[in-house]
Amino acid sequence: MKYFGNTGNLIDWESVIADLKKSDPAHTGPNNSVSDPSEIVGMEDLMNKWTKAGVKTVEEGGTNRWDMFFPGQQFNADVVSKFCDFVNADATAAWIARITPGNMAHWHWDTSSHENEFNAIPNMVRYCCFIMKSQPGHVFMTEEGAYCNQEQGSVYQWPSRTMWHGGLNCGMTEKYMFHFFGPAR
Amino acid sequence: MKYIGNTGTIIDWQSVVDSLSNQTPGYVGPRHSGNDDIVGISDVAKKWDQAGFLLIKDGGNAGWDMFFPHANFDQTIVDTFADYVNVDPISCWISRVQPGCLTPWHWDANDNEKEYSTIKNMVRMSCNISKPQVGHVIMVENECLYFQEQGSVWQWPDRTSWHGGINCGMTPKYLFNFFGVRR
Repeated sequence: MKYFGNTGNLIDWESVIADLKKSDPAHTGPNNSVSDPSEIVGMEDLMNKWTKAGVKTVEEGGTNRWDMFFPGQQFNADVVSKFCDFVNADATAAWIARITPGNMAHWHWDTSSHENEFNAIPNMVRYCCFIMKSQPGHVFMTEEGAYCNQEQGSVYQWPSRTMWHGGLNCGMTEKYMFHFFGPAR
Repeated sequence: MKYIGNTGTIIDWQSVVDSLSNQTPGYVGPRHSGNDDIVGISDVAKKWDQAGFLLIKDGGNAGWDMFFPHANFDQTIVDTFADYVNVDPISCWISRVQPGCLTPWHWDANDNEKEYSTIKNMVRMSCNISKPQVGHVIMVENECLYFQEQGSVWQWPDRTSWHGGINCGMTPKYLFNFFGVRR
C-alpha cells in the first residue's frame, strides 16, 4: 500500500469510535451479508478456500467475524465527505469495520454483489484509514505487508480495490478501521 | 526486534515442519491457568478474560500447539541453531497456530520465572520456519513480522517481551522459539 497522509487533524476519530461503541453494527460479516451470497462474485471460491483451511465463523465456533458500520446510519456522513475531500475522490462505498479481541477478518478480498457495476467505474481508487490509537495485537495485512502500530488517522491507498487482505485482533481492545473506495475526482 | 540472519542453509526447516505436521503436539497451550502460582500468569489471564478470549480447550480458538526437542524434533536442530546465534540454550520449542487460531497478547510467563530472572545475558530469539504465507503474523511489542523468509531469525527486545501470533491464512503457522545465555 502507498502511504497517503493523515486525517487526524480533519476528523475526530476518537469521537467517531466513541459513538460506534454505543451502536449496534448494521450487520456482521461474513455470514450476515446484506446480499444473497449466491449473487456475490467470488464468494463461492472464497468460501471453498476457507472451508479447505478449516476456517470457521464465530457462529460455527471459530474466529472469522467482523462488524460493519455505515455512514448515515451508525456514524455521521460528514466523516465520509471530509475523507472524500482529503483523498480527492467521490465515495462509491465507505464503512468502518470492527474486529473484537480474539477474532479476525480471515484472508479475503471484498467480494460484492455489485462487482460488475464497480468494475465499470473508471479511475476507481481504494483507501483505508487506521482510525484508532495504536494498540498491541491489532494487525492489518495485505499481500504486500503487515501494518501495526499505525498513527491514528493515517491513510493508505491500495494498489487495487480487490486486493486480498486480512485483519486480526489478538489484543485486548476492539479494533476499528475505516474503508473507502470510489472514483478519483 | 533485531534481525540476526537466516538459518535456511544450515537447517532443513521444511523437513522439520513436514515431520511435525503428522505429530501430536506435546500439549496445546496455554498450559497454565490464572490460578497457577507463577509470576505474571494471573495478570495475563485476567487481561484475556476481560477481553473475552476463549481458549481452545473451552471451545474457542485461542491456543497453540507445542512441540519439543527430543520428543518431536531432533536435538541437532537446537545445537545447530545455538551455534548459529552463539547462545547456550535454556529452553526452546516450536509453536504451531492453526488457521483461524491465535495466541492472544501475552508474555511467556514460565514455571522457572524466578530462576530465569536472575540469569545474566539472557537473549530470546524466534525463527520463522514456515515458508512465507499470507495471513501468518507475529507481533512483538510494537513490531510485526510478516511474510518472512523461511529460516529468518530475529532477536527479541527481551525474553519477557509481550507478543501475539495470529493465523488468518490457509495453512498452519510454525515458529521456532529459543532463549538462552549469550556465550
